[in-house]
Amino acid sequence: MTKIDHTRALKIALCAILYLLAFGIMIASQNGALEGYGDGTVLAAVLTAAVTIVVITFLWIKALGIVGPQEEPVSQSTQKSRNVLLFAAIIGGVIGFGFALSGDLRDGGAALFSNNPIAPIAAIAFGALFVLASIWSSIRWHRAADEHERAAANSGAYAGMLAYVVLTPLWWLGARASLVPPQDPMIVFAIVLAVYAAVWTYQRGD
Amino acid sequence: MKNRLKVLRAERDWSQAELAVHLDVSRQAVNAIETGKHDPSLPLAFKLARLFDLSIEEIFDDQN
Repeated sequence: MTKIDHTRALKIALCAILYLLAFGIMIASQNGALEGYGDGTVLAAVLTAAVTIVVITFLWIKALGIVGPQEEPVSQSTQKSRNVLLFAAIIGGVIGFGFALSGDLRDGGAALFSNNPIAPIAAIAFGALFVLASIWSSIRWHRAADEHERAAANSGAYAGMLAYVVLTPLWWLGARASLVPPQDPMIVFAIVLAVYAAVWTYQRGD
Repeated sequence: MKNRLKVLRAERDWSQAELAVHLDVSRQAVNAIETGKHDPSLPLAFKLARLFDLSIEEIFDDQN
């Protein structure tokens, strides 16, 4: 029977909640912009949320051991898997930054976190880059990572899938009954990703 | 699954990270195996056995 580290589980769950909260603030800020709140207020909220997301991402990456003290020796497979994750993070940052800049700056410069129209060329370019980079890095990472790391990621993927299977029809039913707002695919995506990352990080261990 | 990995590692004065390099896995993987949270695959179990010059049964105990 696996012993559960409650403190560690709590920290990771807290990270996931803060992540979703920051993501929620980004979307709320976008809605605020649409409803005519001042540009300065919206921009401040977007920037605060963006900084929060960056800080939490860094803490998460640190928990995964991708960055930090490098005194201890690292195996070739670990180094390779870290390099792939770093590459994926850089590509993600490039897409996110470029996407944010491609939107209408009156929206607070956060096209990534809204459903507002964007230029078709931006959608095609960032979509293609995202698909190619995510598929390539996923395959490379699965080949590079050791069996324990892969098992942890697979547990996270299963939990994420479970979150998707439960959340999507539940939200759809709620929306049809006018109990909740219409489903937003990016919020579902963020929740699934947060569950995936939290379970993966926890299963990976210290 | 119980195992003697921690003792065997200590006998050679290796850290978890050093053993991880020998096995080409992460330090977290070594920690997970030592604490019984992860049961290694057969290839990794054989790798461990060869590294310590023991049989798999001498390292792992599936009776508990």
